[in-house]
Amino acid sequence: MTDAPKDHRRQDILLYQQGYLEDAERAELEAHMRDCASCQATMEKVARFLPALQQALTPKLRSSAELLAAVKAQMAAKERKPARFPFWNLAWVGLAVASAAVALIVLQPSAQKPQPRSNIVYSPHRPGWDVDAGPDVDAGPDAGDERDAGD
Amino acid sequence: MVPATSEKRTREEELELIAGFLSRKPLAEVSFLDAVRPLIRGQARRHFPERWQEVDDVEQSALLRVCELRETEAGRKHLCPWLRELAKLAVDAPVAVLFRAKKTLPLKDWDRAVPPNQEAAFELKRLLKIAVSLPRGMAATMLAQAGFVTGEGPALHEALDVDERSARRRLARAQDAVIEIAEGGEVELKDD
Repeated sequence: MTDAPKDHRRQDILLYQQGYLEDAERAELEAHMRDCASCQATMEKVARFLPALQQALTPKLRSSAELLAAVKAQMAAKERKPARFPFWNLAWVGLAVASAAVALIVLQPSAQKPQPRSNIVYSPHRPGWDVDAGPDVDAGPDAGDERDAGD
Repeated sequence: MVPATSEKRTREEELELIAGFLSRKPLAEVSFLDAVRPLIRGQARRHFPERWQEVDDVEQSALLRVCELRETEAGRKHLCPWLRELAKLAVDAPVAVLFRAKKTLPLKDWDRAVPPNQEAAFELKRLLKIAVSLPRGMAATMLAQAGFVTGEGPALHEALDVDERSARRRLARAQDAVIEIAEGGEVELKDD
């Protein structure tokens, strides 16, 4: 079968090597392999591959005693390590600080609020709007008195 | 020697193992671990085949979780038959962490040149990487077979819950894909 594709019956050969073919299938494959050099080569390749695959998929395991010791050491290390402040706690703290700051601004006593630099008032003596300079906050508490004295 | 699979263990035997573990007597603890470890690996094999390269880490993390359960009253309630359920509980959390972390093996582990005496070991790692990188069903099939061959898991068709002939055909297809990829061929992969 020179025109057959390479490894054309590899799946059958894989099953054959693992003893998974039915009797009739096995007999047929054996008869085929007698005349098929490609399948004979595949058979050799598969015979090397299967134990390697088994070994690759079988992890080297620590003994249970070793594993237990490792787990206990890990537990002890976890206990020694100070608990990390969880990020969501930090978020709560941040939120609390922000709330407190907002509350301070909103609830600030009105006496401490800066006075407006000028007030617009209606003057009964002159028609129209008048601008009253009002106490100059930046000038300090005596600034208004000086102006009054000047009048 | 504790049987490898819990199907052969009675509820009373499991209770005894758990009592031994709770007693913290070293030998009893080891017996408990001997019983639970195959179940943990079975869970990892069946449900997280793509993480099989990290099975050692998964196993240790799962056992850490079991040991932590022992420390609290609420946790001890989980330490009851069947151990298979406990293994499932213990495995899910660490694997979820691995998935969240998107942990991948660094490429240098695979691509670096290796001395000749390590070539065989490197080839095995390469085969393992190929096998677990296949579609989940294919990877799980090969791992189930490997577990059966080592005596740690049930027969392939039982593990896959299909008839024997289908299970064997699936296995051959998966193994064939590994050979093809290992030889540098292109494979159109389709899960069963």
